[in-house]
Amino acid sequence: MSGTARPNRIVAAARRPPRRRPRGVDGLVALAGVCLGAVVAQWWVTKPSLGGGAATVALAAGQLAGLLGAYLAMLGLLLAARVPVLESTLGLDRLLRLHAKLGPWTLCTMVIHALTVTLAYAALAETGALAQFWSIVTTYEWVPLAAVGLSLMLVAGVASWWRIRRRLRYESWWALHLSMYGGIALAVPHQIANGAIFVGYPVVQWLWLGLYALVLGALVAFRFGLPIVRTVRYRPRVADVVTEAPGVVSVIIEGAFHRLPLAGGQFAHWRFLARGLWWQAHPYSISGVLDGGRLRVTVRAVGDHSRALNRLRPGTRVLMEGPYGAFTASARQPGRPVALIAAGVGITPIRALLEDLPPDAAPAVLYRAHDHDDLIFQDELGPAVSGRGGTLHCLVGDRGEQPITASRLASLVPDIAGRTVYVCGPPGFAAVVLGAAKDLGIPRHRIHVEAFRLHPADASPVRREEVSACDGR
Amino acid sequence: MRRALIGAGGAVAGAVAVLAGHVLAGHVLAPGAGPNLPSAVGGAGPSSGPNETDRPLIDGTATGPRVETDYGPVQVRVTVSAGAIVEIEALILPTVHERSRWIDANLVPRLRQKVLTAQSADVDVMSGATFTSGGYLRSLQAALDQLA
Repeated sequence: MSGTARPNRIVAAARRPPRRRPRGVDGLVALAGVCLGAVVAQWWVTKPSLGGGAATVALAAGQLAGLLGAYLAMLGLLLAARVPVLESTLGLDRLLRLHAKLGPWTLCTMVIHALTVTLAYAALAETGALAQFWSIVTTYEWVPLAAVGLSLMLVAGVASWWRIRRRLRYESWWALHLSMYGGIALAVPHQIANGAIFVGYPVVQWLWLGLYALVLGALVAFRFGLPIVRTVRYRPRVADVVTEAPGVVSVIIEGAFHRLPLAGGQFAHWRFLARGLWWQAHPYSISGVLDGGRLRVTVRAVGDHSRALNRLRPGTRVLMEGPYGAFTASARQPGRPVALIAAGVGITPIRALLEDLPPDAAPAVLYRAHDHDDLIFQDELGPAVSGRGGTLHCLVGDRGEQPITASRLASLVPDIAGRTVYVCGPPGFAAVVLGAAKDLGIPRHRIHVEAFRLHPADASPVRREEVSACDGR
Repeated sequence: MRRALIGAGGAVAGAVAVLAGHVLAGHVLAPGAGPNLPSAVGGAGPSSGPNETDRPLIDGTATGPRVETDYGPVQVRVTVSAGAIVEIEALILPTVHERSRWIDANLVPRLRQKVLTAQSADVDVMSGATFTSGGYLRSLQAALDQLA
């Protein structure tokens, strides 16, 4: 532990904590279902007769694929739109995982649409596929635009493929991914103007446009409007930068945060308006609310960006997007104790979450770090845990020395099978804990995971040590 | 799992709402005339086909004249069974222009459904396919006249 004096005192975590609204999510799922059913039914009524041979069957299938592709695209946009009901209940990381899973299916459906319709028209018109493709792209109303749109979406989609994405800088990927919006927009007119389910049905045309307007509205309101309003209202700026441990810094941010909807365990996307930093926003966890309503954001310096945080000057303006995340105390079941399991800097959201637990919560906290020097918040964790009648275990060593297995968990926390489990750490660590929890028979819905990617360069020399209680150290 | 059921329930509700809307608007979905039933020419038609004209139609098949439109010729063949129009086949459709081919694939099937629902060639021409549907209906009317 470095000798940095810390005059800051954690006073609370939750400020008007955002409510989980599972009923709201149910409602949105039902709405998505209604739209899907309506689209398929309308297609069924308007599709070409299936009795007309293989070409018309292919045409009908191609039309359905196009509709489903557009539907999936809207769904994917909504998942990424930071809709508060979805976000506070399911958590942004889960929504974005779903979004990423949906992406390839969406693109495949659209490509199938383009291919099938082209081939079906070629068969109906008795021309070659290439000639037909060329004449569709060059002579149909709005179809050339849609072809450009599909190409944009394919480029952005390939950039999101992990084999490509890991070679790209985040900013390059992000810029490419933005072209999805353009691609989707370019494909809209050909749906309305040429789609068999729309032509001759103005009501359907307007409803479809209404869905697009809804999605666009959600994107504008929640991805741009809300962060701008919050930044203007809270006026966040850097108050201080504190070194917590070698390579770990806390940025203290002050602002009019008394109305900020925040729960312990959440994170925000931060954009520091300083030279070299202003053009990128990064997700960092809020590790606590300090006196005076200041937020403490704790970051492990693994990338260029987090290293540059050391040089932040007090007074630097900050734009914030969030807070986000469902990794909060409200995710636990009433009356059920919790086990909080962290690796490395994964302790930051758990530190804040602890403050939201009632005095009799008796939390069990497991905290693995490579080295004693890497243990942060030691002076805070002890009192926060023991003050709630809980126990804190610090496991110092790497994964070989401090393996997380079912038997290990059960020996450290004998009643763990009956607890709600929170896990925060790198994806590999989260996967190991999930496996152990599964072996213990803990149902998946009682495990809450916040996984983050660490830079591979953060391996550090490790000493072998046994489990030690952190209290009083 | 529970949310999957909610979504599925919503999908059924949405599909039923759309189909009900079409039935209420009298578009398609009349028994035997639905687009979902592969049409078997000369096969068993609906047991009692509604015939909205005064004269009952004679069972059989008739081919209408070739009608020239600005975009090309149109010719249809109609099949009547148990006094009801059960099938209309487009023998010739304009295919020179891309737009025509698109109409042939997308709008002509719907025009066929409209005729099967109305049981008459007295339906509106389709906007966006004025020439093709006009020729289609004229050829059809002439074919029906042969069976009157």
